[in-house]
Amino acid sequence: MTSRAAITLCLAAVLFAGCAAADAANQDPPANAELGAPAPAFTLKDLDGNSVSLTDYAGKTVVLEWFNPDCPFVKYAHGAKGPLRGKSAAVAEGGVVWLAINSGAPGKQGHGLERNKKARTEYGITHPVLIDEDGTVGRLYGARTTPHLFVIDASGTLVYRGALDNAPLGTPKGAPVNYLDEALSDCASGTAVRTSDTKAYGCSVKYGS
Amino acid sequence: MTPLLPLLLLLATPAPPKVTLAVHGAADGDQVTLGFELTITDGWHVYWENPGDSGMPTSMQLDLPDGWTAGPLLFPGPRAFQADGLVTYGYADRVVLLSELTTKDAPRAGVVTVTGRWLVCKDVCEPESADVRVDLSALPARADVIEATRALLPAPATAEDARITRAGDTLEIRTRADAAELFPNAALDLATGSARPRFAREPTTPGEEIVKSSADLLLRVTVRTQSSGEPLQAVLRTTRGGVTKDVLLELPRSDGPSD
Repeated sequence: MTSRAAITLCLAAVLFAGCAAADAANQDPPANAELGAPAPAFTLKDLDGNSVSLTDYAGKTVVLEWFNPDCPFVKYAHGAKGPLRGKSAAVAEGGVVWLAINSGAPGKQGHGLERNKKARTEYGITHPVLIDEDGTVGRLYGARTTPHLFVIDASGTLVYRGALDNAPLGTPKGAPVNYLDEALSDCASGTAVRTSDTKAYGCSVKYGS
Repeated sequence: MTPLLPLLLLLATPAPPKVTLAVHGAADGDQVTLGFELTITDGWHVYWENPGDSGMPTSMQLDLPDGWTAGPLLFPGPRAFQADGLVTYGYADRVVLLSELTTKDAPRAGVVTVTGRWLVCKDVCEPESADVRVDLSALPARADVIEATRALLPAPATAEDARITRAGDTLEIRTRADAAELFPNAALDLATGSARPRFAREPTTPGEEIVKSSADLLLRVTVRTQSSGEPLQAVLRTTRGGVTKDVLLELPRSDGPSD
C-alpha cells in the first residue's frame, strides 16, 4: 500500500515534470538581462504599496529608469529645465510605460518612502517609482548609475540599455544625441534600435553591500 | 551658545568646492602646454577619461584666441575605486591633466578661458566646475609641474611591455612583471562582472611549478561589448623591481595578435 502510493507519486512527478520544471525556472533567480533577449520579469512595490510587475505591461514598450532623487544627475534631469521633466507623461501619449526604480539600500542617499514621495512632488513625477532596496532588480538588469535607462519593446525584448543622452548635466559631447528618444522612435516605427548599448553616466547606484 | 547657531551658519554658507583648479603653462616655440591641476578634498575622487561603472569623465573646455588649436586632454594612468559592487577609475588627492596648444602663425598672446567640469564623489557625488583665465603672453610658470606630469602619461606600449592575442571575445594579455593592473578605455566593456580584471601567474609550460621570477603574468578576459567608433585601448600598469610604469595598449578588434 505504502509502496503503491509512493509509485503513484513518482509517476505523478514524472507526468508533471515539464510543468514543475517551468515553475522551478520561474522561481530560480532569473537570468541577468541581456540585450536582444526577453527582459527578466520582476515585481516591486510602488510608493503607495501597490505591487507592480513588468508583466502587467505585456504588449507595451516599457522604459526603466534607475532613480535616486538626491543624485545630482537625477536632480538635473528631472529639474525645471531637465530632459526628463514631463518626459514620461509625453511618451505615455504614444502608449509607452515608464517605471522608475530606486535600488538604493537603507541608509544610503535617496533611500526611503518619505524622500521618494517628496521627490515625486518636487519633480512632478506621474509614473510609478518602485522600491528595490535590496538591489535585486538593479543587479538583475546590471543597473550601474542613476540615471541608467533600459527600453523593453512590445514583444518583451530588452532593446536598449545605457545613457539617456550624450549630454551629462546638459553638456553634450559633440552634436547632441538623445539615445532614449532614438530608441523609442525606433520601437514605434518597428525598426531595429540604431544605438542599443551605450555607456551610462551618473552617480553609482547606492546598493547595499 | 546654542548648538543651533553653527548649524544655521553651516546651512546658510554655500558648501566650499571639494576640488580646486589651478592652471599651469609652459611654452616651447609655437607650442604651449597647459597643465590643469586638480586638488581634491580628502576622501573624495574625480574621474579618468573612462569613469568606469559610474561617474563622469573630467573635462576641460578651452576657449582659445584665434589661430590656436588644442590637442586632446591627456590623463595620467588612474587608480581604481571599488564601492557597492561597482568599479570606477579616477584620482584622489591631486592630479594634473595636460593639453598641448599649437598655432601656425598666431602670436603667443591673448586669453585662454578654461572651463573645468568634473564629478567629485565619495559615497555621494557633486558636480563641480571652475573657470580659470590664462594669459598666453604671461603663462603661470610651473614648468616643473608640467614636466613631472608628462613623465606620468602612459607611453605607447612596445613589444617588450606586453603580448596580446585575441580569439573571438577572449582577450589575452601577457606581461613580465611582479604585478600588473589593467584600465580599459571607455570603448571597451569587459565581462568581469563587478570585479576588476585580474592578472595571474602563468606557468611557462603546462604542469610546471610556477616560479615567480620566470613566469609571465596573464590576464584572460572576455570582451562584453566594444564600441565601433573609437580605438580599443587600455592602460597597462606594471611593477618590475619596485618600478611602476604605465603604457598604452592598442587592443585588437578581432582574432589575432595585435602586432
